[in-house]
Amino acid sequence: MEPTGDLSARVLVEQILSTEPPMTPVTRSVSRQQNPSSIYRTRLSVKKADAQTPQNILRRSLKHKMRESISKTNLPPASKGRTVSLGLGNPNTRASSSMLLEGDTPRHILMNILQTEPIKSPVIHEGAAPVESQSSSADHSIATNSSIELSGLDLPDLTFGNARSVAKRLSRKRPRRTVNVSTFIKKLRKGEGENEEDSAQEDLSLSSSSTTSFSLKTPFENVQTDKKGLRRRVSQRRKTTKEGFGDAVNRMLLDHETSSLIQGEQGLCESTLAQDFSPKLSNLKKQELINEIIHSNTARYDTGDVPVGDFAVLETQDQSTVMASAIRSVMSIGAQTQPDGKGEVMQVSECQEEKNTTDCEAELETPESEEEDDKGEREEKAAVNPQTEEVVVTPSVEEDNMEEKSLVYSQTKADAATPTEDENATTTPEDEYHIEDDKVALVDSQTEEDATTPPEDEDNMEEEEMVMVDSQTKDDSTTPSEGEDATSPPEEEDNMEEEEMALVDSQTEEDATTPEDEDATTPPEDEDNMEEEEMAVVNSQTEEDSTTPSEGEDATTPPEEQDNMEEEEMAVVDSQTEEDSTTPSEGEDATTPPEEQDNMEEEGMAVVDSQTEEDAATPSNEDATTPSEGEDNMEEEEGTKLPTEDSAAVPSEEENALAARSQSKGKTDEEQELNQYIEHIDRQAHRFGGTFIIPVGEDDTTEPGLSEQDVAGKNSLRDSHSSIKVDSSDLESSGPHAPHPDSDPDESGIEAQPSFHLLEVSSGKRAGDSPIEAPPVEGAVPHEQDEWEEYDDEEENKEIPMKTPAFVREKRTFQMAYQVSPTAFNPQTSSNKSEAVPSVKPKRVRKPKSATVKNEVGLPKNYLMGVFRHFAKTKVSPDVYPVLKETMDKFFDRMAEDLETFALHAKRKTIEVEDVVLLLRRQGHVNDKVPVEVLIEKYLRMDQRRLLIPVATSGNIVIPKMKR
Amino acid sequence: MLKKAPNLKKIVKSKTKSNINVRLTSEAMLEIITMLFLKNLAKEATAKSFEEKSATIKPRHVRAVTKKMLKKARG
Repeated sequence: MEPTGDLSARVLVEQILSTEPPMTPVTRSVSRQQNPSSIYRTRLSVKKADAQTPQNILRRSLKHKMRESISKTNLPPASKGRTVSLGLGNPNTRASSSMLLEGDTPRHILMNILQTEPIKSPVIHEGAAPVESQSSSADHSIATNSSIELSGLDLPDLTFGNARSVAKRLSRKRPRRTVNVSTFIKKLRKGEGENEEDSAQEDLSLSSSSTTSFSLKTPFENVQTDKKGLRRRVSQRRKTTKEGFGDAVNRMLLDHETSSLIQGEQGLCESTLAQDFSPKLSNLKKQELINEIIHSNTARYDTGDVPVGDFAVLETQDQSTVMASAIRSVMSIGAQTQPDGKGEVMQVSECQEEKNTTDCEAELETPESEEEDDKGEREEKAAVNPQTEEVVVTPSVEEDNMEEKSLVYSQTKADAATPTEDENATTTPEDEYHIEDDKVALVDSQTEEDATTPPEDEDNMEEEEMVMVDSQTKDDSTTPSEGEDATSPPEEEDNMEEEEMALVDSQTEEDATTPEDEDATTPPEDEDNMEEEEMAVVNSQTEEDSTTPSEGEDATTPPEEQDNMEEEEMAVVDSQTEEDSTTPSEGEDATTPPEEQDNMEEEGMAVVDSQTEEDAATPSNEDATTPSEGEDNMEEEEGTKLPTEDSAAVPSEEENALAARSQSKGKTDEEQELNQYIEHIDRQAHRFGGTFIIPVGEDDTTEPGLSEQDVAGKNSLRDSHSSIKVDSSDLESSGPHAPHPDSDPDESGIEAQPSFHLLEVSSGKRAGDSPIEAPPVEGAVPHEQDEWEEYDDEEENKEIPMKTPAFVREKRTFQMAYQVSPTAFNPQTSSNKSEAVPSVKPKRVRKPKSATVKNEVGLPKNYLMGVFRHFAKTKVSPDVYPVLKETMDKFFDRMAEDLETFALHAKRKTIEVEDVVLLLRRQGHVNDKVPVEVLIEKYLRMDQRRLLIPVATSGNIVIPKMKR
Repeated sequence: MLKKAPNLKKIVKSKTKSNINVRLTSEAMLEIITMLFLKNLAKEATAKSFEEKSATIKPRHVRAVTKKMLKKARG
């Protein structure tokens, strides 16, 4: 088998290369890049596959069965034959054709890519294209990145870079949950069947753990999909494949185009956006072209099949069927193209199976993916995209990461929609280590270490958790992550998301954190723990915690918040895992997060002892409380996110404190206050415990007054440095929150200021207020936690880009306000924090209004103009108002003077009706012909008339009483 | 029906030199006076605008009529 496989692989590769250029008008660079990349992947797969020869045999048998089933079902085999024909038929023309065809049809490109990728694995055995593959891999990654971004609605993200990635997270997060659910269910279903065969495959597969995970997945899929699944797939394939294939083609085209056009990144975003739309439109044309190509290719394939051998025979059979079906399906070009893609995938997978076990896995995966596609290909894609996006976002800082992400995207996409993707995914898991190493070498040495760690975690996760989903996600994550741990968390996130929406956020955060080497080291441990517990959330939290300290930047703050949210949900377990994770984490940061976690746990457990201790120890309690309070207020105002539980409020505070700390670190640096910064660091370390402690103590002590008093005393004792630090923390805390609510930075600054003052003046009151206020809000919110989490994520993502400016602004504003009017805020402090914060603005606004009103006493414009228009009975120019106002002012002056004179003349200090009647009479409105009552009845409403005109009611009662 | 004129009591009290009270019933009467004044002013302004063959009352029309109307409004 091996020699044949090698031969077939070589032949196939050559043919594919030759065929690809004609097939794909896409840019030359893209096609070239794809080929080398595919080769590269194949190399990796080949390496592993060599060891997996027994698996290959089994897979081949399975594949044969599949082929038979497919062949029975005319459509799938036809598609396979077509694809094969394409791959085989085009052997010689690759270079020239690639030049000619580049940039024309995304479908062709996709087809070529798919074909080339599986074929590449055999080629790799030859070892001819390794160098090219490496170079091309980089290009490939770029292209994939662009495509991924484009497909995932990430167009702006590309341009933005890191910040973009953050935005992507937000956008992606929402779809993830929905998508994840469907995928998760599918995985679960698949997983049931997989377990049986997985053991066998594992035995067979000698490859690394990562490969085993894939193998496990694939066998499961194979069992289900072999006979039953295949037939189902056939029907499903047509439907799903159409959409999925089109999507894949679009992606591929976009990727290629983007890669070719936008190697840089940002410039491509726009083009990719435009391309996204264009490829879809051009799909019809492309399909037609593909059909034609397929026909021609089939002829070529026949010729080329002979050398291939066993495969060729099988393929030829398929091809014959495919040809007939293709001719028939000419009418339904779209359908054909899709089946073709499937068939290609199948063929490719077959080739791979013969040569590589991984290929078999890919085939298995493909059917799974097809099934999934049938159910919710789009959803899966979306889910995959978000995952990949998440990964991308986190690594976005580095272009290398982007490339890796692009790879991941392609893999995930393949899983969801296209067989090619499946192949990639299959190859990726096996090759993960190799690829990761290579990529790491290309990208960063650090990433390699990270990559090594994540696979282990993934393995653990897979075993314990959902093997199928985990393996897939892990594979995907591993491939992109290579140097990043983040990839694994997204996979976990998918599962977790399906289970819990909150987990996703944490996972994303984890992803972000993972890219960091230090963080990455800690997260795997956490992941292991989590896997054991099966609490992905906890892992994410721990990872996030670890990441937050390491980053010490804005990015860290959002994850912390998410962590807190998650912690709230999973308080106990999370706390344990968090502690574990925190311990491994780095010095100060690591220490602080564990403390926080501990605090969180304690809070969740209602452990007062730790709180009391913390209170005693906390010089930084005030600081922590202030930021947390400000954040709490912000959250409450925003309608955010404090979880339902009382503990949730505490964690939110803690989160705020953490965010503030991380922010403060970064911010202090920005402020260039080195001295203060050092102190801050130390204090921050203290604060971690102290801050947590303080809120806890307040929360625990339902009687905030007593604890608050104690705190206040401590606060008073605290040095001005602490106050400064608090300010910075407040500013920082306000900074992140401000962006979340979309509220103005000024608001955040204002809020932070009052909170700070409150803390200083009456920290106890504020603390008490904040916890009290928070819990009700949280209680109301709990049902919406998922939504909140999503929003939080989005907010976090938003915050990240805005962080630096927000901090600066907030700091400045806060400092200014604090210095200027610390005492002024005191009265506000008496009121609750939330109340005080909102009250500030309205008061300011109201005061000027009232002043204006007093200064400009007069009738309101709407009334004045309304009455004037009513009596004018013609059109009244709006310009009349100023004149009217002036006139009425004079009129009132004169009227008031007259009435006062009348009243004083009557020796009264009250203006009576008599005086007004006299005035009316003097003005000529009341005369012998027109009594006052007539005017009253004419111009006044009934309620006013009752006051002026006595009315006799039943019982001879006159109201009002007649004076005379 | 027209809306009640707001703040008439406040306006009068703010305009008076000495501290004087305004009874509730007299406030209704004040509204009558105000509305009568506005009615006459609008009537005169409309007449003025028609004199100038303008369908819409413009500031200059009102300004031209104001002096006469304020004279009539003397107590």
